[in-house]
Amino acid sequence: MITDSEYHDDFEAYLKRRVSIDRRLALIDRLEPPPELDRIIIGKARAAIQSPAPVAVFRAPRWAVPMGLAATILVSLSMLLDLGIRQAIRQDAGRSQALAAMEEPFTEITLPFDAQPGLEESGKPSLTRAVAPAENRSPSNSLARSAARMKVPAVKVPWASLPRAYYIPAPATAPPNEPVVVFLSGSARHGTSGGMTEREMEASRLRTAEKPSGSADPMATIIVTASRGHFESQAAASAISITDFPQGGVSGDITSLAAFPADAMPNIHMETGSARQSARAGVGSAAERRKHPNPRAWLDYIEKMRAQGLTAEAEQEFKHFRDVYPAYSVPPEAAPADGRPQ
Amino acid sequence: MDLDDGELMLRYARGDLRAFETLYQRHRGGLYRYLSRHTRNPESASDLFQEVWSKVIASRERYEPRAKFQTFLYRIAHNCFVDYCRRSTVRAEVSGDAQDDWQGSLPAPDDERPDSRAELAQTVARYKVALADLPAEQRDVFLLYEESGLSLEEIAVITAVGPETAKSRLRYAVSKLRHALETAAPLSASPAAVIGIKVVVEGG
Repeated sequence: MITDSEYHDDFEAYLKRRVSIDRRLALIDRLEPPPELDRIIIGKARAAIQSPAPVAVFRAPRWAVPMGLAATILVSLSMLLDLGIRQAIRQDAGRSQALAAMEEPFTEITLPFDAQPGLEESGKPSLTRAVAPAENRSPSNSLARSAARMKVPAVKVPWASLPRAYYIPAPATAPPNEPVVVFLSGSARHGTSGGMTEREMEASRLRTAEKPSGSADPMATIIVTASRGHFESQAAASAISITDFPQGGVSGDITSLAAFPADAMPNIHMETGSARQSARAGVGSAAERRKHPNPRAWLDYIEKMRAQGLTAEAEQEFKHFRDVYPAYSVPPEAAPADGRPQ
Repeated sequence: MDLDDGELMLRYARGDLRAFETLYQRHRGGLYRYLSRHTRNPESASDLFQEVWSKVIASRERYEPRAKFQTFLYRIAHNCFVDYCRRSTVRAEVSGDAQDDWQGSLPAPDDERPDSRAELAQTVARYKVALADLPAEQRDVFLLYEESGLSLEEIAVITAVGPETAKSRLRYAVSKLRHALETAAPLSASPAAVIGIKVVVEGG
């Protein structure tokens, strides 16, 4: 019987490889691989070193594909969401500015016309002379070309701010009894001071008036009504300038229109496009009255139009006045010249 | 001058076939016995033997002699055998389809007495039955220790267990095998002990 101590010593001797399990087993422990197997393996080893080394091919880890798909979807959704938010912000901004413009009260602003002395001396400018220098002046080339096609002198008025219609004095150099085209320029849509496209210019020229013949008043009036749809201004530019192309120089820059008090500029009348539209519809609504809160000032304005020879315009304006204020007592001097009952 | 196994492997990686042949000659016997006594099937052992050496050949570029080459070699063999066991349920060790891979390996004893040869065959049979009866973990440690010549620490690394666990497994394996060999029944009374074992006694 082997004791634990003996067995422990025996196992330690076995661990030191001094003894084997059974000496008889040493006789049978001669198992070897068959020679055929040796030849196969040596052949594989030879073939491996004789063939070119395999090209290392990058294998993406298992998680790469789902992770890549998830990242792609996430980035795409983020971009779409961002685009949607930006578009909504733009639409909200445009809508709020348009609403603000519609609710703008009646404004009467007058602008003095500052003709440059050199131009007054030059007298009536020829159309040919008017176009040639303008083409060399960037950014007004398109305006000048358009004016040349229309055979009229051009006045460039950068789109200033929210008013949709305004009256501005015709340049002194404009030929009498010829239409004066006033362009609203500037990129109101984009809020920059870049030039308008010709399409925008055409859209902006809604109505023109002829300079009164023989008018001694240098503040001849022309009327321009801007197309509301084309001037949903997003940038309230604060300057309005008047440039007479023909001599390349009648340039009355009236800066900061909004900053000037109305009574400081007595010769330009401005009103909102919505008021004009309502007037055309002949509606004497409360809204119209809110836009024209001072009937006396309105009548004074009509009188000035008559004094400048714009009889037809004055009549139309007076009719509009009557639509808005049908019961207002009009003084005799403010009544129409033909004496028709109003 | 005998080169280190790691150096031979590096030389083979650089294209020296002779280095591989030397390496192969050193380890072919032990590896083959380890696999054949695990599988107890010459065909499976040959397949695994080829698989192990093919992996050694394929990994020649990546081989770094940080440990003994034997550790590297038997780790591959151990993993191949584990995969083999997963692929095919290891059949009953002493079942009828298990072939005697020691068949024909019995040497001719010095004395040609029939009783000596019969006693040796009986010992081999008992040893084989006892080895087959060992739990797989104990048999694995025992075969690694016997055939690879590795230390217990290296065997522990290969089998991914602690050194004490490896030593304990080896102790149990040796104890069971010795007990089986020492308590051998007389030859005449032992046919049942060699069930499924075909011991061919040649010569005489």
